[in-house]
Amino acid sequence: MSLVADLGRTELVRRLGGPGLLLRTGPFVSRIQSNLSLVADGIGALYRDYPVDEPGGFADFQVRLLHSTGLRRWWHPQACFDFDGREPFAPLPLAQAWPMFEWVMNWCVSNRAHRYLIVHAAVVERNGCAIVLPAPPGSGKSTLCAALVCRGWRLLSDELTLVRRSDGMVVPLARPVSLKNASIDVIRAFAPDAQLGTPVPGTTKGTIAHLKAPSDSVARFGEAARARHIVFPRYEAGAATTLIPLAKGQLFMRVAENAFNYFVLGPAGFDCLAGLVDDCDGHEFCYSQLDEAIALFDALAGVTP
Amino acid sequence: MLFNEVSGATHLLTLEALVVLQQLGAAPTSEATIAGALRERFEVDDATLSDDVADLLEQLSSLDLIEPCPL
Repeated sequence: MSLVADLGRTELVRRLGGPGLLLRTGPFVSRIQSNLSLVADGIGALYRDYPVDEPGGFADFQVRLLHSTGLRRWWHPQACFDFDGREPFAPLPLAQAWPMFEWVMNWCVSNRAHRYLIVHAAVVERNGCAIVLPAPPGSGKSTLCAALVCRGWRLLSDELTLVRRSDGMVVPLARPVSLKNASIDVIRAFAPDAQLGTPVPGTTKGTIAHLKAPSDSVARFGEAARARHIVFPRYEAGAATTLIPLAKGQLFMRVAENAFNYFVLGPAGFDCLAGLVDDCDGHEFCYSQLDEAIALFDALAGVTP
Repeated sequence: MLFNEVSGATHLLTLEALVVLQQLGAAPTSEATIAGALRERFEVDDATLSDDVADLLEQLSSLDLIEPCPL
């Protein structure tokens, strides 16, 4: 199977501008069509380890990100997202095409992949122990997730935890980690070798830069993992590292609040979430020091120092 | 945890509420019988038990999990 890196820039641009690039991310194939150089640049840099299928094959999602037309081609140009012929998002300034691509890829999964229970959460794995990190924006979830994968944890997802309904296993969807504002420099300082995309200022979430998923995490896209802990992280400047247990009932309700499709799935969602909660211990986690946080996560996974 | 398949709502219940629901699920039951069942299973305050049962039944009814019926 070819990787994006094998195509070379010319073929990558040709497929994006023509029949579409069939990009495999976790269990999904997306047919991506785009005439935006920022999208080609981003895929070439941050998705170079990802498998691609031959043009004409089956795709779960049909994604088109195109340059605005008419007067908008020249005056305040925009990036427009087209999904199966519909435009679920308003166009964004052209300079935000790359973050838009990542949001579109998340949108496709969270709105369509109902064979999974989808939790708005990062999930990482080490030593066979997956830890789910649900949290609202601003909680430090992505920063913590990025720090963990820079210290040897496997990235399963930064944003969408996919719980397979048939057996409760977490299915990997390793894609770039979205870092915002101050987190970008925090991770640059914490992991100077980390591969970050170009920061994009002025989005609705502030400045965004994406951390490339580790190659090993991408290569292991077929290895599902069993979740053992669900940790609700909260960054607080100067706070001590604390881990407070959550009762199972509370844990269930908190995860349900963070699930995209719990109500769509009905009884199947209840059963799937109940299985996940049965498998896991729940915790509230407060931190300010990434090294201490990582040591604590290593201990949860049974990794000896 | 309780999932109501009719409404699609999920409820986090106390153990006492679960016992009451299980009892009512088997057959319509009087408040006095429910109070007796709770007294057998839990440490209860006899002075407030009758009111506590009435409150609990009212809450379960407001969630459409039970409804009053003639015995």
